[in-house]
Amino acid sequence: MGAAAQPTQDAVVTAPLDTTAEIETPEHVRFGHPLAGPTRRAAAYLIDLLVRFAILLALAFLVGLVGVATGDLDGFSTGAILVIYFLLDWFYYVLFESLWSGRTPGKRAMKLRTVGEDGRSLTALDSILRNLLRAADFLPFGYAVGLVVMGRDPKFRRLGDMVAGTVVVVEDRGQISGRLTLAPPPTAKELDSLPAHPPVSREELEAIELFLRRIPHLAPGRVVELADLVAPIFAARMNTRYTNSVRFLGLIYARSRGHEPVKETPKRKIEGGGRRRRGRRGRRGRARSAHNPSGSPLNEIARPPAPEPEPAPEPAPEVQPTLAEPGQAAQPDQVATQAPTPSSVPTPGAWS
Amino acid sequence: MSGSTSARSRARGGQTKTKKKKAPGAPQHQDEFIAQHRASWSELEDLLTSSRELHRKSPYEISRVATLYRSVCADLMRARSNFGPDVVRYLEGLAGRAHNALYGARAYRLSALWELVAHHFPRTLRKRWRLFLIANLLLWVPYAFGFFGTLASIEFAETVLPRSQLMMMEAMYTEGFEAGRDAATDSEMAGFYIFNNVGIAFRCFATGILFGLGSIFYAVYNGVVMGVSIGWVVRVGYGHNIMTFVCGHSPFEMTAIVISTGAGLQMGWALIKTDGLTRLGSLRSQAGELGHLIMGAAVMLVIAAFIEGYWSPSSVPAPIKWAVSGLNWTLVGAWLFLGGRWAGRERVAKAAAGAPPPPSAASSEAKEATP
Repeated sequence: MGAAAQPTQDAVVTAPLDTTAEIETPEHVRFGHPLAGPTRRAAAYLIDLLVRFAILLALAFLVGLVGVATGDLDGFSTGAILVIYFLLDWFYYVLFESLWSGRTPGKRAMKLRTVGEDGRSLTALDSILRNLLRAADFLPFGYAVGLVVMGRDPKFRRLGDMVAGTVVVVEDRGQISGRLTLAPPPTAKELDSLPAHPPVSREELEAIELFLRRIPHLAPGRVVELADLVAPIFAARMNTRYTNSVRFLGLIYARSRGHEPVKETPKRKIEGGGRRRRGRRGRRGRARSAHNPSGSPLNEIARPPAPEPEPAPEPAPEVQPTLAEPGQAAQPDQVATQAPTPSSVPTPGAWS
Repeated sequence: MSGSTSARSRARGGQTKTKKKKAPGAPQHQDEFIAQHRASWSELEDLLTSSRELHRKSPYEISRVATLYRSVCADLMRARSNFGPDVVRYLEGLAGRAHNALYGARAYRLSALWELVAHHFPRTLRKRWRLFLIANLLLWVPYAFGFFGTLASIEFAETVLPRSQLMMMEAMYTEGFEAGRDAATDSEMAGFYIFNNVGIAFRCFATGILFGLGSIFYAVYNGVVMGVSIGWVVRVGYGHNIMTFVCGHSPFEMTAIVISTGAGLQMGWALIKTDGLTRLGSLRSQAGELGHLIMGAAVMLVIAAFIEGYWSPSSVPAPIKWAVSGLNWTLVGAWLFLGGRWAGRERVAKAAAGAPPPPSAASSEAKEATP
């Protein structure tokens, strides 16, 4: 049962269900922009609403002051306030999107930006079109039409975006998390059981990495369940057997990436940056550092591994049953920080 | 690539030594790669996150962003072929933000706006004359219906509008404008008209995306309401007052509302008759023309609001008001029928002398045959 005969798996890997807009730049570099969903955009809208209200209030106050100072000029004030309200209502977005190339105060706060679908910058005409059509998106009330249209569109466009050919993208600062290490480290025997270059495609390897990184956030039973889905496919392809599916995937990853050189005395590697600390601090610590309010994401970039000489552990015996009971699977967080002792049994989810 | 490498080494300064350890071209480890490029990435990161917009930065910083952006693009390509999804995603985000900052702002020229309003707008409108005609019918037929219906029967008027509103209309035009209005009221009314009428016009346009139904509804509805209102005032005997009031600005105002409706219908029609495109693609292909039309209409509405606020209620004798009305109609007519004809010819001549016209122009001409 080769993986080539598994069209469903290939389809899953090659066509990810992702909400990104592919953009090709004049430099012929393609990159994906994550698209902004309705929630985030609604938050930006609310912020903009407040900003507009504040501007109107402030200007109305000013106009009122001038009116009082210069005598009875009720009409002037009312007229001026109506004009201000009109301008804010129809041209607030156009003004800011033109000045700040696709951003309004609310979008800035939510790290959003309006760009053309093909990555070109937003022109004034685009902005006018997409914002005039708010009148249609708003119907019958509270952007109901816009929400429905957005929900049905793979790029989360409302009617205005469709006509103007724009999308709203998220400009979040990305993060590079620490490198993945297998705990306990792979033994030479374990690695030798796999081919030197495992026949795994790039996409498959990425999927494995994403899975391994997600282990701390998944229930232990779920981890095993997911790994058991794919491990047999790889095992069949490489003509090998495995005892623990999670560890097996980890070994494939380690082998392919060459992270863990096969040595006589495997050294325990320090994991990069925040990942490991996060794991120790548990749920609360993770939540706090996920915000990362001040720290540069580059702090998170894996530092070159600082090998920590340690007495070489004996190769861990492979006694783990193939199908670990969900209850038996140890908490990954705890395992990750366990010192590998000769007697310790490799447990599923021993990845951090 | 060589430029970006030198930029990177400049950015890293002393770190160049670490790079030389490895033979060029040898596969690099991800950690090494990150360590090597981290400095230039964080420099770009810092340049992008500072509060000033890019075009307000110093020339050195701007060119630095451009250099770093190109180097990040190169890094991204390498990361994509060699390294994990984490690095790729981070670099994509960074490159994306740099791209948006660099290619974001476009300069605005007043002459471009003039070009649009004076040339492109009337030309597009003439090209879409059929929709303009339909929009006219959609507004003026209900208007006439409301007007003459009100003249014929009070019950009809009261069915359309509540009595209180009719009374309000009546009260507004009882006195006439021989005495004029004070400046404060002028200003207030100008503000109100801008707010109200431009809103109507924009709504006529925007709701056209619902297969044109919204435009049709708003055009017919506003036509009937206007017809009944004016008809009522005429019926109770103040026709002279209201006519001399509306004659000055209506050339601009009514035409703009009709144009907006036409643009709305154009959107709806694009959704129905797709010419082999997807509905969305068909809609998208209209965006340029719609922009021209709506910008032109907006300018007309601003003109109308000022006339309506300051000229229409003034105490100028009726004959002059009628004369100005005629002048305004002529102006609007000249703008819409003649605007962009000569400039267009010059450009066509230039295009014929130079390069062949772009395919987009050819396809839009082909579309003209089947509006």
